[in-house]
Amino acid sequence: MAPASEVPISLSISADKVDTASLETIRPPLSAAESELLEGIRAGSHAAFEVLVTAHQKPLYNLLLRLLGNPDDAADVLQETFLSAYRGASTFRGDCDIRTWLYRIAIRRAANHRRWWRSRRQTSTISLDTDVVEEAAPSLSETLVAPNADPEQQALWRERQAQVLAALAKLKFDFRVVVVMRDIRGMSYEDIAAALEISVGTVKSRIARGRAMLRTALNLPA
Amino acid sequence: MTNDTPTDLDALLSAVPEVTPPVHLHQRLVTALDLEALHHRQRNTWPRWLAEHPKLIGYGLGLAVATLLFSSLFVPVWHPLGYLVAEPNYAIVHVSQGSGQQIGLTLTATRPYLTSGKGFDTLPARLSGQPGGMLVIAEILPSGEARCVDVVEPKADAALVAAVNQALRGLTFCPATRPDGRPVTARIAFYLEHIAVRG
Repeated sequence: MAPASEVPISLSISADKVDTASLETIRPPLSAAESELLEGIRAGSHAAFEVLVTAHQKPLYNLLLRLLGNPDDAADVLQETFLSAYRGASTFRGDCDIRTWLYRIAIRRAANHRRWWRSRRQTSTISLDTDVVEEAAPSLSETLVAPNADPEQQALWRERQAQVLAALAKLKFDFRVVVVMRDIRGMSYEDIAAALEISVGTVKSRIARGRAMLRTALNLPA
Repeated sequence: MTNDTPTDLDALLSAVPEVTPPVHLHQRLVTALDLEALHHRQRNTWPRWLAEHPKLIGYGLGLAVATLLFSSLFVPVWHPLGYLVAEPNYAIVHVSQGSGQQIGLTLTATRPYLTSGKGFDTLPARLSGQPGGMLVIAEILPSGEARCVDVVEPKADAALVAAVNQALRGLTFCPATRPDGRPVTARIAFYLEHIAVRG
């Protein structure tokens, strides 16, 4: 028997395919490509890991970053998410697509991480790997928010966004999750409901309440 | 009520920039997965099988607890007998009324056992459920002679001990010996189901 890493699989799934799949409201639990990818993951194939990480790293990282508010925590929880997915791949029944399954694991992991962190009364950490000068400078994506705006407007934008993120960080976790998934990640109600394993009605209710709390925190009109 | 119409808040939230993950993160994640897979392959088969079937561990533990609970609920324990069984120099035999059969005693290095004509070396199950009789402890001398040393239940009195001794004289015992053949004094416990010896 060949070693698992040499299992010949043709991984035709790509990141684009996974992203476009999210736009579908009703979809079969697992496509042929996803089944193939899942088999590769179960077999411990390096190629399958490459495809999995390439396809899902960015959306998951952004979700976790907005949920946890810290890039290092987001990276750590993202790693835990992928490891959990690998460990649980053998028992995953394929009742939802891989993206929803990963979101489900990531949110559970983020909730656990937050609980663990709060139980130790920690507020922030400084990564030993972080370059202080690099951290202070705005990232490329942040400078691209309003490319046509003048520096003053850009500064105002950044300040306003900092206020939004601060208000978001103060929301209760359940409300923060749905607001981030809906309003920042642009996910459908059905996808959010599937990822959180709650009803669509509950999703809508939480989004409405989360938005109301944010408006209050940011002094915005209802 | 849900309100999904665009507002200033929607604009602010949708303008939150998408962040590109750190460059090294992709490699870190793939390496972590490769290492985990390697570790998974190197792990022994049965712990991995157990890890993949956590419910079975739960079922096993549940069954063990249930067995423990039920066994403690339904199996009567008669303390004098239990104590004697646990004592390595004792063995328990049942002598039914009017028994004239020969009982042979053999002593092993660690645990003596008694055999009757039918052969049993532990307390018969039906006796443990009927602790209303009389427990007699007798000593078997190397000469093969047996004498009563104690009557545990229900009451020991001189007349009863004499009656038991009388009954013991009606039985024949082989001397107890160690595995090397040396004779030794051994003790046995009799459970007398019917107190016929009184008469």
